[in-house]
Amino acid sequence: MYNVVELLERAASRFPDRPALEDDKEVIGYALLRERSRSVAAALLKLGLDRRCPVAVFLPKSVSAVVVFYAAMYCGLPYVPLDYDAPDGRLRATLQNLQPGCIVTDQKGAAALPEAACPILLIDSLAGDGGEAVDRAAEAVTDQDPAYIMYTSGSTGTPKGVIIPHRGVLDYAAWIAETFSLNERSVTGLQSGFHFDNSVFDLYAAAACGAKVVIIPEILFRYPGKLLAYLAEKAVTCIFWVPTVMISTANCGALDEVRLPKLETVVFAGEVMPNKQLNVWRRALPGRVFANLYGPTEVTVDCTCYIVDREFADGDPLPIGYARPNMRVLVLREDGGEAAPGETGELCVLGSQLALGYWNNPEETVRAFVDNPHNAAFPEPMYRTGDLVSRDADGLLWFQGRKDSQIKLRGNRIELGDVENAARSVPGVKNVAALFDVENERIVLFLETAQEVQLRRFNLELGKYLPKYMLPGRLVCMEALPLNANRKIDRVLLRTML
Amino acid sequence: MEKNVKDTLRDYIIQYASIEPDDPDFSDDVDLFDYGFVDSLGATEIVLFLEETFGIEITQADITLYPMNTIDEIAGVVEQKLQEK
Repeated sequence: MYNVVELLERAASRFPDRPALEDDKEVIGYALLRERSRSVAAALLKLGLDRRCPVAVFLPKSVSAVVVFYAAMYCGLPYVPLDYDAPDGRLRATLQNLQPGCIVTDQKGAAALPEAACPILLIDSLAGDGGEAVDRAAEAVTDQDPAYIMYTSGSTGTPKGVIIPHRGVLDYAAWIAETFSLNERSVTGLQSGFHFDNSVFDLYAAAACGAKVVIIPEILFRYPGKLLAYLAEKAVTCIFWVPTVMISTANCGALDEVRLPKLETVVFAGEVMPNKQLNVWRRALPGRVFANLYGPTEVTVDCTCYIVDREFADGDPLPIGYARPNMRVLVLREDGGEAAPGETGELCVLGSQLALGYWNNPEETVRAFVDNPHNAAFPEPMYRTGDLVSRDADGLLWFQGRKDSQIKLRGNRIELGDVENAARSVPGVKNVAALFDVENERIVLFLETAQEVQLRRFNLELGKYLPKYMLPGRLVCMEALPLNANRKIDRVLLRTML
Repeated sequence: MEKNVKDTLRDYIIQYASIEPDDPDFSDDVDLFDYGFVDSLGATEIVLFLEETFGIEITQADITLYPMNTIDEIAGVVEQKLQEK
């Protein structure tokens, strides 16, 4: 057996009474987390699902959801965290692609779910004898088997399900625990929703060393000052979050008032971290570890790391660091050759944390996961990130932008084509172009409509198809979108109107 | 007569979020965030305004315990805090 449930088994035997997870309702120790997970696993086994058949989890960010994640993994079934706040249109598109073996939810979730072709199971009704049958199932799970599938924005409007194997999670968790010296006395504050890969940092790095995970209530992210007070109250020692939260907490001024003596490690990833706010943090908490991680969902959360070891001026960029051990990165030019130092190219990733591909999506899988062209004798998969980077003379990697129209907004990965596709479904919209206004950090939608449309009202309609973080921040209504010589929307001209 | 909590709060939000007086979506029980009247920056501003205006402290525990998405809900929390004073 070499799989993720081994982390829980080991933690439960080494640290049975130490707290594993805390949410706004309960604190649960490792032994009890194991017991509850195995009990739910026994109930899932009774369904007789085929191995590798996905278990969709439609639950709030809570201890119960994590119990189902482990339960599915005990059975060799990948878990799929669905966004509990996703609009109906998004859920339908995701379930359509996923075709899950079952959906685990609660009363409220069951009422919100679209009709499904698979069993919908209430979490409270799932219990069984977590004995030998569960052991047998778990022993058959190898590190090559899928552990979870996480959905991310797809450019055609169909969300893409990234399949991550157990070995990716195991390698990542071990690396994080070691790099940030986590141990059974550590407390990590979980920011991310479970449907985002950042949650993997907390859940499994903590399990790898018996640390405690405090699941931060989502509502606190609206109130950065109160969020800091919460971290202090819960004695959080390590936090991993997106730069947006680093920025809002730095800007609210509360770092001067709230004391965070326990907080040792502050890690961020998901988008570019401005040094201005990083410097506010570093001045408020001198001597602590600050680290910038980088990686798309397809490489199990992160593959490069930069531990901030010097002062950067406010307006300067921050490097994304070096590839972690067991992972390799290549910077490839358009012609496939390796970029020279200082030259910009596409970041390509190889190694143990690579995804197995996209669920039910062979076209996208073949496009993004290719054979390493620089090692033809030993075929090995390589993921093309679409991110542009350069390497300096010291080998440090610097992020330079995107090859395509994928953007990062407040840490969320968004394909602008996904937004356009959904906007076309709104009544009255004849044509649409979505552009990213970097300076004002918002998506601007250019709409071809007969009459002016109010942003708030338009977003109420668009919000039936898209999660909130994908909604535009500004609308520009036009009688006709401008076209270029090729009769395509003139995006260059539109860009000048941002 | 002094304005009550709810009126003070409603007036503040109408002014802060530039809400049209005849907006049919706006009411005391509409979810201000779901309906796009207030964004995440606005949430902090509202709480700061209430803390300063009424001399109360709304803690991280209050925020986790009580929903504060509508004018009715927010005013309810403030009134409770005032009673505890």
